Amino acid sequence: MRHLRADSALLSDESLLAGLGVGDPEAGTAFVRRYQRRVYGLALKLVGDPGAAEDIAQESLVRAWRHSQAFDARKGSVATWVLAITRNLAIDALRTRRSVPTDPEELIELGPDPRFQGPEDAAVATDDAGRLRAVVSRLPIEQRRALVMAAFYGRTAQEVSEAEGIPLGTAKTRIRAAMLKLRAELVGESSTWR
Amino acid sequence: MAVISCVRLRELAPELALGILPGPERSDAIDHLDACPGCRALVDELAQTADAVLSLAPEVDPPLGFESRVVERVGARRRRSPWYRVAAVAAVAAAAAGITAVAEGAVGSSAPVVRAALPAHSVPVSVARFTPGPGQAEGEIFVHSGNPAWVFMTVDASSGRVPPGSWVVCYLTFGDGHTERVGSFQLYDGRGSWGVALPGGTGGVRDAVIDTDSGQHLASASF
Repeated sequence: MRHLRADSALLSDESLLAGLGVGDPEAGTAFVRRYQRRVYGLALKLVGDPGAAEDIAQESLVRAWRHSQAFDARKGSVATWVLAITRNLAIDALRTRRSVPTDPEELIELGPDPRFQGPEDAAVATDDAGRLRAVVSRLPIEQRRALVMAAFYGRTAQEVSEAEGIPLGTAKTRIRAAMLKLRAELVGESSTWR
Repeated sequence: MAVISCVRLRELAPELALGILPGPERSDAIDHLDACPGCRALVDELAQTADAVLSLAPEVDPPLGFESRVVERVGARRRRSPWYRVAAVAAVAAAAAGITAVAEGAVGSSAPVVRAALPAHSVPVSVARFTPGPGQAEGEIFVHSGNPAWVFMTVDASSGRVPPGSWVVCYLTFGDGHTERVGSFQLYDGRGSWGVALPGGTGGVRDAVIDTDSGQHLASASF
């Protein structure tokens, strides 16, 4: 029998997921420990209520644990898969309760990472999250707001235009511009699409 | 349904990848993606980008005991007996304000249960069979237009056209003409069932569309 308890912190995300798939309870516990802060943090920022956030976070991890075989590595990392489950559950909960976030800038802090002192330090952020945070921090504030409303809260361009008091075409342009800049950072300049 | 170019698809791609593109444009875009691998690759990259943005939310320690509660829930789910699906459907049928959604991991024979759960004097339940789209999903959709109103559906997309663990997004067009994304649920081994309470005063459900969250059209139904 593998001594998973001693090695779980060293296992890759995919290995933990494989452990879930074969019903390894230690892999499951390690999986929850590895993602609970991110999942709960996202849920709390989206719904604002700690009780509701815990329900959503629990359901997200339970679904990921129960259906680990559904993870498709071609579509991204395990972390983004789990967070996407969390986001979808939070959006559904918000729509059911008719909750409307008031100001995306108040709810999601997407400014420069506090670990870094200035733009020159952003170059130190080599992981995807760090690079994305650096790109987001350089976005014009109106693009950042549109991005948060669309990516985190599932707002359509029409809803963004109404919330921001701008034409629909402007809302679409802001969403598109923000997404293409982020995609360029993640995918790299080798892509043929601009 | 309009035939769109790659140039037009590139304009729509970010919204499609984010899952926020309105119905008619989404249908046109999906039709294009079915025949254009290059544009599909772009949309896939943008979908990965959209998911990666979620990692920017700050991490927060959950409440004490969270981990053990999750572990306990997984154990409880494994012990759940089949009759739970019946109870879950009945819960949707008797939904009061505040219900979120009920999702189960397998298609079941839910139609008789739905009818049995309704009072004799209530509004009848409308049933329609899904017409498969490119994603080749089959199933049925049940709509109760009373108060509270709800929708429940069973989906079988195990034909292999979509990944077995795909997320399904449901859009409903109501009698007052507006279309709304009412929720999403995950397939397990290509199958799933799901229900949710609906807003009142919309004139009932006219059409239903289910797509994967990456934009592949699964099926549609009309009432």
